[in-house]
Amino acid sequence: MMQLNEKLNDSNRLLVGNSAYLPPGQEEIEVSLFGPGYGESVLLHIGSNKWIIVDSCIDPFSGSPASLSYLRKINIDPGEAVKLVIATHWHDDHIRGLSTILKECKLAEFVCSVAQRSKEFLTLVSAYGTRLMMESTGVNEFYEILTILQQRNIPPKFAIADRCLWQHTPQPGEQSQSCAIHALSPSDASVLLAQMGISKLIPQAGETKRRIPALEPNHAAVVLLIKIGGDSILLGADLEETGNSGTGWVAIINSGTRPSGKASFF
Amino acid sequence: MLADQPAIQGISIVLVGDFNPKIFQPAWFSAENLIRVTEAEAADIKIINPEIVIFKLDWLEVQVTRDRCSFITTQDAYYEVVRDLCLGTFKLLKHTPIQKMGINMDLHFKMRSIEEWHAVGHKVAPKELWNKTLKNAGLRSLTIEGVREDGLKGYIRVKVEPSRRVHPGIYIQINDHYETDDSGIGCETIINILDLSWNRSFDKSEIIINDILSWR
Amino acid sequence: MIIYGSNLAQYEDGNGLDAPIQLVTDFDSLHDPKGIISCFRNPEEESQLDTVEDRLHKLSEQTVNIGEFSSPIIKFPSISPRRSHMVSLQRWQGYVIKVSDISIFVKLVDLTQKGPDEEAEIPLEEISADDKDLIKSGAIFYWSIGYLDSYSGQRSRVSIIRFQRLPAWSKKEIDAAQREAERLQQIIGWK
Repeated sequence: MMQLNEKLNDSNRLLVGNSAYLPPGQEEIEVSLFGPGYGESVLLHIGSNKWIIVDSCIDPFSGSPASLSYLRKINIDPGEAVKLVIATHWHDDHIRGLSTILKECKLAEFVCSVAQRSKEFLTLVSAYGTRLMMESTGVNEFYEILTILQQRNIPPKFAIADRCLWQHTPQPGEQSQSCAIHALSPSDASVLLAQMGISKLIPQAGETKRRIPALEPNHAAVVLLIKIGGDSILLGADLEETGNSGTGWVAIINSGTRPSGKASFF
Repeated sequence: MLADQPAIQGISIVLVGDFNPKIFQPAWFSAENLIRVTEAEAADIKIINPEIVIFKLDWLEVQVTRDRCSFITTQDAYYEVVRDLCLGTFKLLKHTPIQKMGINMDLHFKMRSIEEWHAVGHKVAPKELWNKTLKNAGLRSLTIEGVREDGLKGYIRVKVEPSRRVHPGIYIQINDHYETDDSGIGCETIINILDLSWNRSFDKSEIIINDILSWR
Repeated sequence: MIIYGSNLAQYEDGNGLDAPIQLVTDFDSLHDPKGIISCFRNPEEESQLDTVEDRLHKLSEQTVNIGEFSSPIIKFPSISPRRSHMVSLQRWQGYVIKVSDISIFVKLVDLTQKGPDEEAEIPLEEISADDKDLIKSGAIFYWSIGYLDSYSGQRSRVSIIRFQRLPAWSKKEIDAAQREAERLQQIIGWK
């Protein structure tokens, strides 16, 4: 505990006079990456105090989701400001704390991969959703997310290749930029493969209770293209190249219906 | 996370209901793969009869009477193992009527000095009232009970005493008590509560203990 | 056989951690009014609750006359004999990612510091023989490193790995999950 307090004091001293904890300007685009690795959670300001949260990881100091910790530090109310909460896939390291985020972001739509739009996935979540299996698995988080969606009586939005998930067109006189968020994956073939993989994970009677292994390759992942004014941001979501033209990055490149343009940030 | 490392600690899961003690033998637990075969064979069996069963493993003590079943450990490496054992047992014996459950923590903390020891006692039980009428008033035992905030029936009871095992030391007991209205129709409700409330119970206990001790 | 009322809610001495029931075979301990609350009598007699003070004299008579064996006397609450205690410095819950001939590759969730997940390779010789059958991809285990104080007071540094043991999936559990999935599909439009 003493060590932890010293660390916090050190970081506060470093940040005095620093603008790290000031909110972005109204027209300023801000992309914040959080994670023990690189970008397990992404927080985007797309202008006019509209925020998007993509995936989640836990801030070890606060014990809260890192994106929420940051928003609180810059005095932004996530309950009002966050418009979309997106789960690009259900690997543990990208989803821990996402249910807490969704609970706080009361006005946000929830987006996940269409590959999870199946009775098999819900069966998996229902079967494994208790705390018995493992500390905070992706399935546990989804169990909590489903509970929240039930309480709000709001269905999720499902991401599939080339679908527009959210867009904003400024009204006359409004000082903000246009914004559009597209999913570039999963492709139709990826959805089929992912759903087959999920079906195989459903336990059989007599089987030992074990943790659900991560599906590899990650066919269900949601790659996002975010266009704000003239700028584009590409978030890759752990999508892997499979060597198969119908899945992975090749499918995205080969798609004739994806939004045009090149990302300036990825 | 506890801010202070306890010198001695243990937990117990105590269930109140209607039990058939003779079932709860080491051999049964190992046959159901809930403990290791070698553990069952090496168990220190104190008594097994229709009214009462008591046995010990390296890390566990099990005591079962007609109305009470206890799983006890003093090794924190096995806290989740004890929980799993209790959950596994009563998922198999799902028709056992259980109406009450206590998830109990017992901890002994060594204080840095006698002065600090006295200060904790004075913090939880200020002596101004007592010093008027009693000479050298000191805390012997304090029990505080709070209502549950999770909508479940029961209470949380905290006991603070001078430790008899560590000196100068403070003993804190947390009794996280749950009750159901189910009567005689099995134990699914209580077992689900154990499953879903375990982490929350420990988190709450840690907050209570840190609050009692961290002001020093 | 008679078992008398228990007093498990309050421990009068020892600051908790006491076994609520302690077996005693020492006849003299019958005369300790604080200790004895129950004992065994002839097995033909019915169970009933009673009080120590009223029956102490009769209890001592009955226990002596049991025959060849001294029936164990249940005494509770009591000060328990010394126990071993462990305090962990670090605890993880982990699961197996891959199994090789000599080791397992695992992912670890930090239960102590709530830090980021870590991956590790654990030699198979660190695993207890009885747990080796449980080693499969996805198998869950607990790992604690800390100090174990034996009942005789000897402190040792220990590393304890123990695989989770739970009843296997039942058809009832899987059917319940499928019904819940159907219900969720209807309620939140997950279809």
